[in-house]
Amino acid sequence: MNAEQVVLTAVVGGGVLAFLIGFFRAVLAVRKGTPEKWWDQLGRRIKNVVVYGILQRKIFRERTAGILHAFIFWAFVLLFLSVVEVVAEGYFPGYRLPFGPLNGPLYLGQDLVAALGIVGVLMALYRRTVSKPSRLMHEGNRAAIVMLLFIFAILASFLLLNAARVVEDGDAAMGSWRLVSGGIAWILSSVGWGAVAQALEPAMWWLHVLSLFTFLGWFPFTKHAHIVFAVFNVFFRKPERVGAMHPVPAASADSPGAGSVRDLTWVSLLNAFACTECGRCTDGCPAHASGASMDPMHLMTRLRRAALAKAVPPPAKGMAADGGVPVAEDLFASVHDAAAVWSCMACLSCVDGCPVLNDHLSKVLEMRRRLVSRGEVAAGLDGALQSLSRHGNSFKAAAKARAKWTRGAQPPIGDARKAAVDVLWFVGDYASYDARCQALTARTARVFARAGIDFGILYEDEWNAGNDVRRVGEEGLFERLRDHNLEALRTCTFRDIVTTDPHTYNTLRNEYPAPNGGRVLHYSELLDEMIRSGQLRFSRGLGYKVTYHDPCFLGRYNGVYEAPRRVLEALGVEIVEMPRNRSKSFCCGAGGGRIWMEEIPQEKERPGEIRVKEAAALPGVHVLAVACPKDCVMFTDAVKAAGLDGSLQVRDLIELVEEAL
Amino acid sequence: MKVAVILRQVPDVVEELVIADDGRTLSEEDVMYITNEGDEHALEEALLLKARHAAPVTAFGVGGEEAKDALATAVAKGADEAVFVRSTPDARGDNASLAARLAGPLKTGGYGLVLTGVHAADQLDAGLGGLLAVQLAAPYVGGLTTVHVDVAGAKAVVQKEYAGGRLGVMEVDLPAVLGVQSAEQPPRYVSVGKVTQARRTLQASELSVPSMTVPGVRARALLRPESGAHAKMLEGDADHVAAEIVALVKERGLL
Amino acid sequence: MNPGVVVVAEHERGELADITLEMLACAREVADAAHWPLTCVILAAHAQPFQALPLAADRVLVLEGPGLEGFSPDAYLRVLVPALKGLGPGLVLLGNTGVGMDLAGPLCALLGATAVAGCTRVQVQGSTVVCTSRLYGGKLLAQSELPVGSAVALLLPGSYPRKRGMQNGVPKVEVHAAAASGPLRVRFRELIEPKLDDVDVRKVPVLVAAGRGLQSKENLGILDDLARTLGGAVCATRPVVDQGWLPRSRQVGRSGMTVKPRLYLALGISGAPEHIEGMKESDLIVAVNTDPDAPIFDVAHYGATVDLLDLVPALTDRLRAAKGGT
Repeated sequence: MNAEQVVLTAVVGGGVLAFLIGFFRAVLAVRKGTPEKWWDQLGRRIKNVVVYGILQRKIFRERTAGILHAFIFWAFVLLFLSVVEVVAEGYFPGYRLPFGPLNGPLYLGQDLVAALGIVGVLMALYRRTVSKPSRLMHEGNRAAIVMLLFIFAILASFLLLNAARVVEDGDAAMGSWRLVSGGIAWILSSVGWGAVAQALEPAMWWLHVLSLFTFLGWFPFTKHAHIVFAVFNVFFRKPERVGAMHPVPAASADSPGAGSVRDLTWVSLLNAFACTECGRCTDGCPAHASGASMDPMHLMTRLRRAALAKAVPPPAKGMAADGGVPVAEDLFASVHDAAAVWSCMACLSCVDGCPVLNDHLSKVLEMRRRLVSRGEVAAGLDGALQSLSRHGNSFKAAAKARAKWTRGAQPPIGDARKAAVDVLWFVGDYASYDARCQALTARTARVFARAGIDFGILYEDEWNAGNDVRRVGEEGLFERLRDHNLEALRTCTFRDIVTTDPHTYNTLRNEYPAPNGGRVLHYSELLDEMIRSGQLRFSRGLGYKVTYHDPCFLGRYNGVYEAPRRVLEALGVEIVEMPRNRSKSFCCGAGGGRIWMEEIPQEKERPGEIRVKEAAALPGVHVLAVACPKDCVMFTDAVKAAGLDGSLQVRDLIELVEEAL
Repeated sequence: MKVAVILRQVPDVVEELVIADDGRTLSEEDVMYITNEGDEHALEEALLLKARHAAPVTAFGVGGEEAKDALATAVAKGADEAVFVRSTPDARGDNASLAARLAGPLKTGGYGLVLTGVHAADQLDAGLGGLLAVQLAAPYVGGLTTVHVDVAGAKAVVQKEYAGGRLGVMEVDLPAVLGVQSAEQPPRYVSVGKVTQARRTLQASELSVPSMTVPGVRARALLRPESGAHAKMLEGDADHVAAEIVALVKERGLL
Repeated sequence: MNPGVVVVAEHERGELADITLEMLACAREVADAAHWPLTCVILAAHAQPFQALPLAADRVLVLEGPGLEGFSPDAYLRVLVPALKGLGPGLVLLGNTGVGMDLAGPLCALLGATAVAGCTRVQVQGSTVVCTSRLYGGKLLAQSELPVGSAVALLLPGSYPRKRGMQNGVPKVEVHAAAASGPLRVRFRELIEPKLDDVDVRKVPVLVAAGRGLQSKENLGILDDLARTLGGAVCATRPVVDQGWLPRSRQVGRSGMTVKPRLYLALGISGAPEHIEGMKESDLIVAVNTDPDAPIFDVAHYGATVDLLDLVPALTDRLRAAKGGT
């Protein structure tokens, strides 16, 4: 072996070794997690890999990013074989891959993807240096730019290497197949720089090898580890509905939830290594936008460091370690502190936005379970939980007062406990107890009656359905509420359940056992059905423009986007969409129990106010249509606080329906 | 030093209170029991003392079966021992009898401090703390918001609430009975899961001293307060009401 | 011995507390109806401030001695118990206050008497003392009977009019030396004044009071504007102060300040008895609460159920306009 080959071996060996170290270091970190089953639903898992890992559907939600990433991605995939060839050449000069006649098309393909890859890199560099979208501008920006330059070097050197070879001997290098490098060769010759080829070839060869293997050895230690881990992350992610929650495993009943890295499952920890630091999660986060310390992306990056047990404590005050847990692995000390964890609204924007299918929310919820278990609940939450525990509602009001809003209702509201009904209306806490919502609830009853729906309610036997109780980490209280409600439902006869509250809808539909074979519907779905079947007709069309806010628990959690819109269209209104609509809807700020908690001191602007301003900015739109009582409450307050009193009206779907009847 | 806390179960006033047919008691069917708020604060203060001085805390739960839930909650929060003091509704609000009943066990228990709420929602007669103190021949002071103990000096330094937001600093020799108004921090939260677990494994000794009735006072009638004068309601929307208030203000020469 | 009514006075810094006058008013009524003598007992380190007060008592008994500076239940009991035993009253009145509640239990136990706490009305009918008292935070009233001769009643502040506790002329005053024998087991050390910020809510003619209905600290701004326009200040109920939205010096209620402004605007306040105690003597009370059943409306002169967040800015604007005009 000559000197060059020794150097080559050292470079290749060093790169590969560093890669293996980096890879296994991550694997060992991930193994700190608790077991999670991964061999079920293999078909769905593979399908997810194809759709999200290979076709990268979620990256394409932002078209430019999707395109540039695809260019770079396919360049990596398809140039793999060229790496083999290039290295082998170092040991066996003149080595070519033994594909015979197929080498030609192979080289053509490689040339094209390398060129497109360069285009992709340039697009990416442009974004990181010129257009600078805010979510990319975090502290890893410089490292990202360096990586992009590496990739550029790898691809450019590949093309220039082949261009040099084409200049020297077009036939041996199969120049006719190498469109791009051939083209570059032709340019070089034309401008009389052909002589450069002789020096260019070895220079580019070494540049290619060096940049490639340095990249190889370095990338597992950076966010580019996602190159390896993202696909696995997608595969190992449990194929279930987004936002699904699971009961506390019996084994951890004494200390539920997660306080340290080792309390999360290994699949959950894998998320941290699949994270590409794209920032889409933080971009859509309402807590972050309002000024709270929650930052989903940094939750992931800090989790990565914590899993590697090399955590750097956050700049704010550190917390005492959780009894024997090393500070580095303590989630509250090293990843996100309690204040950040409590500021989350469980809106699912982070999970929805993540291209590699990471689940940020589940970690926050596990941490909340641990905080609740320790008794460290956010200010204001203990009062709400105590009220829920004693009276089945969060308003410190008597359980018996739940049906006060029905007094004087004409016609009287049916009692589902006493008579069989077609539709059991599970009213919900806010709709029943909040003074501002009670008028809407009464209106809903009137509309139901006019529409000929045979409905009844549970009166005082109904308790809070528990959706948000679960999401603040009080699993024990959730079970108590759920069991109480199930007991109340057991003796009733009904076909379907309907509710006006998306939070109630989410938990009844997904977290309660199916109610005697029936469906759980949001009232917008029920109305939509009735409009389509002709059972519900309107006497007039409302001519004005409205914009519709997709509730988190109806939209992102359950995919119901079109039914409310169809209802609005049937009413004759013109829907003008806000920039953030459907799955990008921006949370009102009530979810995750935040409506029960005290305001965050660092809050600059309430999410509700941010959202109503977005609505008010739409030209000609003066009505913000909502389909959730909490949205109604939050936005009505926000309109006042933002001084938009005269220009924007918050109206529930049911008000518009009644108007058009 | 050992600390005892008396947790009385009282009717929750959030739910409507229904007067029974006899006109002098509450209808038991409609009563929902919770731990007296002052006693919850007393427990919190006791747990704070436990943290500071490693003082074991014994919780005495007074009431019907629901008292066992309260004891489970106390244990889940950190109380070391639980004693169930079975009590029937007719003993409700009778602090004198309760004090007589608890005197023996509290004396033999050797407690340095007996804490209870300075007031109970259902009490008719004098505060439990003061009555207990005489039975135990111990000093008493109530209305406290802070209790600091100097174990070595066998005394407590307390802060007593006065009107006008003033606080009186006092020294009390131990053993003593103290009436807590509000603890140094709000009563801590304990998860439902922990309470359920504590309930399952609860080992509460039942007080063998039977319920006793000492001559005292019984209510001969329970009545609803007459809402006497009522405000003159101003109708209309916010703007209209604002106008009316301005008129009132001008009329009174306040502008 | 003719059973009489004994009122145990409360005082601070040489002045009798309002509750003492209220107790005297109550006792005067009882004494007149039952033809009983009325004795007011005052325990103090110095008798001088109490020797010429126009109290509505037949006799004022001042027990003077060292150890009676500041309130120590231990010191008071050691002086009071023998004094009361000597007087043998038919009825003893204490304040339902921090002082009275500390004394009640031990007094009863040591005198073989029974107490009724939280009384709003006390009457004597033959050989029984009939008390009306508040239970369950004021949601229910209880009527109870105590035998004359072993009756102690704790009177709620604000139950009787103060002026009836006074009369023209000064009653007979006797000063006896009293010493709390032996070392005290409860020792008064000092009084800590609350940190008053720039405002003493007791001295301000108009108070804009914030209750839980305010919902968030941010909304205090509009209340401040309103208060300033009216030349007053913002005060609050206990829950609002406990949340840290305002300092404790702004708290109005039983354990805060008692105020009597010319105008008290109660915004988002439900009207818990502890709060009402601190403000019900205001000249004009206007209450705003979205719940028409809120107890505050029982004590307010005028009320409205509009949303305070709508009302306050509108009110401030109109007041400014009205002021600008004059």
